[in-house]
Amino acid sequence: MKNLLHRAISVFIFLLIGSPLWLVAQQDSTHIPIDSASISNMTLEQLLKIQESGVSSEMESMINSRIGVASKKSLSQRKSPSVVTLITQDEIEKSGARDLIDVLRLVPGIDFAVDVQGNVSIGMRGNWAEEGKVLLLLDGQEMNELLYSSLQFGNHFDVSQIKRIEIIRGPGSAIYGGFAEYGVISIITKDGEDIKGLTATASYGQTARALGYRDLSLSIGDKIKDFSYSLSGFIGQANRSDNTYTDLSGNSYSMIGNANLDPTNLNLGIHYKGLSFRGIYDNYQTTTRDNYGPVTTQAYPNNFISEYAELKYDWKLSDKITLTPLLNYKNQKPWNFNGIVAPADSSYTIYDKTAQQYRGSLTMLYDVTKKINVVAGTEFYYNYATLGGMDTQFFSNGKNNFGYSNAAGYAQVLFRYHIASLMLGARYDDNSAYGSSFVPRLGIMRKINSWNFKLLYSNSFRAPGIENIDLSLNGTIKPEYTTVIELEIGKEIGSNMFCTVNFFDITTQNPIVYYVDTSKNTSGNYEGYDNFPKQGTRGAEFDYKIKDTWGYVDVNYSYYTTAGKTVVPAYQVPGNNDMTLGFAANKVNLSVSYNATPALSITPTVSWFGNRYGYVYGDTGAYVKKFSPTTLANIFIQYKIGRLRAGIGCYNIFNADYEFIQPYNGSHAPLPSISREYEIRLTYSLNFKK
Amino acid sequence: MRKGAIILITVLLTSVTMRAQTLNYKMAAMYVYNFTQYIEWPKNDNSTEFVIGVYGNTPLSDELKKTVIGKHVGAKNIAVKTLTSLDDATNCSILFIAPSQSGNIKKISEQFKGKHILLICDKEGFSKKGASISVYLDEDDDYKTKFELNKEYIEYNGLLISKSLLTLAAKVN
Repeated sequence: MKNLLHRAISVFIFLLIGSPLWLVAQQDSTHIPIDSASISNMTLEQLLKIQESGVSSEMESMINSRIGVASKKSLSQRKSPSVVTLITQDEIEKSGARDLIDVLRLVPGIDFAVDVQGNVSIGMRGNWAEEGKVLLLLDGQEMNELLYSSLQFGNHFDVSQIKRIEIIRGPGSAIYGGFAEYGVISIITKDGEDIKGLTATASYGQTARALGYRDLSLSIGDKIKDFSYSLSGFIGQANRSDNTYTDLSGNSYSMIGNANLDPTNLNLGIHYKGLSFRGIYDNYQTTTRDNYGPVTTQAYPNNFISEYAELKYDWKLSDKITLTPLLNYKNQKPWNFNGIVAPADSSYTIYDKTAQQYRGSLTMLYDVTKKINVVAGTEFYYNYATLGGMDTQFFSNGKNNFGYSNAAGYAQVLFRYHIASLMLGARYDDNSAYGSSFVPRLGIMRKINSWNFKLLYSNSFRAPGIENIDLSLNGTIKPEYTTVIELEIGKEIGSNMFCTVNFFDITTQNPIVYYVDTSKNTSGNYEGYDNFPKQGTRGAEFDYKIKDTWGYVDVNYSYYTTAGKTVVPAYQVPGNNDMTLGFAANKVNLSVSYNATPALSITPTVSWFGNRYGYVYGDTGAYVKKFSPTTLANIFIQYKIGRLRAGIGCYNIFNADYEFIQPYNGSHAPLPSISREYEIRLTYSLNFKK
Repeated sequence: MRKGAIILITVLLTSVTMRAQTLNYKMAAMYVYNFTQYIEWPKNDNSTEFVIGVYGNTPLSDELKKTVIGKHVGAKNIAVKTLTSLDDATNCSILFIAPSQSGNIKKISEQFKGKHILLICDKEGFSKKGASISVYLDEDDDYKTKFELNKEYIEYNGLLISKSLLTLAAKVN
């Protein structure tokens, strides 16, 4: 850690020292430093538009743009009481990202791995986070399914509809509760005012061997005085890969046509003054032959169907106080399969459970004074699961239904003073199934001219999901608790560069882990969830951005280590105390976007992964393989002609053999990702007449 | 790591020698000049100069002098005068109160009530305490320069205020 700290600080200082050279080379032609001559003829309107330091540059606009994910109080990135990342619509469009994996992979600390049944999900700072450890919000709706709390990635969400993504790369439980232990990803899609007409996007990807994907996205929306609406639809088909999967026994199959990722998604948003409604239908149909590792003789459906409805009202009691009552309902059928299984594939079983959540909350935003802001809220939810007609695996209570309730209260106070801003917050949950949780949070933020500093101490927790509770060892499971300490230093260099470095230390107590134990039950293997003693990582992330009228550059580096931390046995790399299975300790991302003309942009993106480890098939049985460093390089060229935006690109240019590795010892071999893929995308927008 | 964090937090909290962001006086001077375009003074005086007085020691004085070169209010030339006594302020149309004197703003406001003088300060919230207008740096909005005004004070001083100035103000008291 000491070496890491020294190395990271050295790199940071080097870049700071070197920055004047960059400044000369990349001087913003639109930046007007304040001198009497430059502003001497400005009107009051013009004066009000410019920043204290001069005309806002592209970069200043970005780092000063306000985000609400970190505290529910809208603050600039530099003042937000979390380590945050903002991804804009412009960056997504220019990168040609096929799906959320392409977008999020470029974020420091985020990586992807395979679980079971073809599902690829997320890791955060070297920690596997598929089940309830990272909260994914789509227009405020929790995308984590209720049974296992898991997330599914791969041609699932429509990236063409995204307006911005706000990410907390650290804990968010003190406000967001039990799914936000390691991070929060909040996707905000375009609303009526953004769309103001009709937009259609068609995307097509092709590899040398098979269809990569084909997606169609349609949206309509408008704003008429205080009323606005947006309705978007997304339908698609994709192959997870065109490569061959080989299980740990050496059996293999071609993934073409056997690992389908077919989304259907509808998203409706209606706003009238402070009242808003959100309805989402998400039907993500996938197929799998990899099952829990050993391949099946044929592909079986593995579907994730969700419906969401939410009604909320922003009630402005005064200039200082806003109350937001909210009612939310979600209905889900995750990991769903209720068909017929071939006799040879008896390990693939029917799973037909429905989970529902009824949630109500009341949030108060109170600006006590200009310097003191309070966010407080209370939340109640009831989770309820039932068996479908064909599912005969009763819950552990012997019934065909299972439910529990949760009541929570949270508060956060933000003091903004000259010397520093101080954030104090905490959340308390009382759950009828697993008891209570209390997670405090403390942050000190300071901005001094072009520098900003954040020192953050956060407790967070993971709420066990329905199946975690139901399949728990001895019928008891506790929430896992995480303590994260983060330090971030940021520096705005000139008007168009911004650099941050952060250090983190994560310790999770009582991590909830799925495992199989042959010694527990004489009549067969015991499978289930249990709390293990500890899990943790520490590391650093570095991010350097240049943004200007000519385009942008973003280079970031992520590092984690498990040295000095306790690691759950299932996550350990045998003989290596520095890493966990599946995730590279070193990762570098580079995005460069160049506006060759106002209409033409060229955007290469590169992700470099250091060594990784995972279980693979060998002649003498499964063994842990060291995967050599891999580079995934992509390019996308976009051209705008009137209402049409056309783009072509190539993903995985070097045709690298990149595989999603299972980040725990769970009998699943690495799942190959797709080979080199050529992509074409057309977007046509038709504006409503005013 | 722990030692490093302790050192850093100490530095963060005690680095008072590092300069906090302050109002840019070039900008503030342009604001003051621009207010003359949105406010109307009575036309019943025969002076040929439009006098902006600056009471107290502030860099704004010099910036204002540079800013108003060659500028007019109506047919009048603009003159900037640094005042050491309020007794010299009677022929001013605008009186800027420097931070060193702004503690007396209430008293000054009472003294010049109805005298057709626009009183300007550079501290947020002072338009509630006697200033007609206050130009300030908004720390909560990324240090943008903004202004607030008190419509009642301005009108009570016999000045006419344009509607557009009301819409441009961050706050109207």
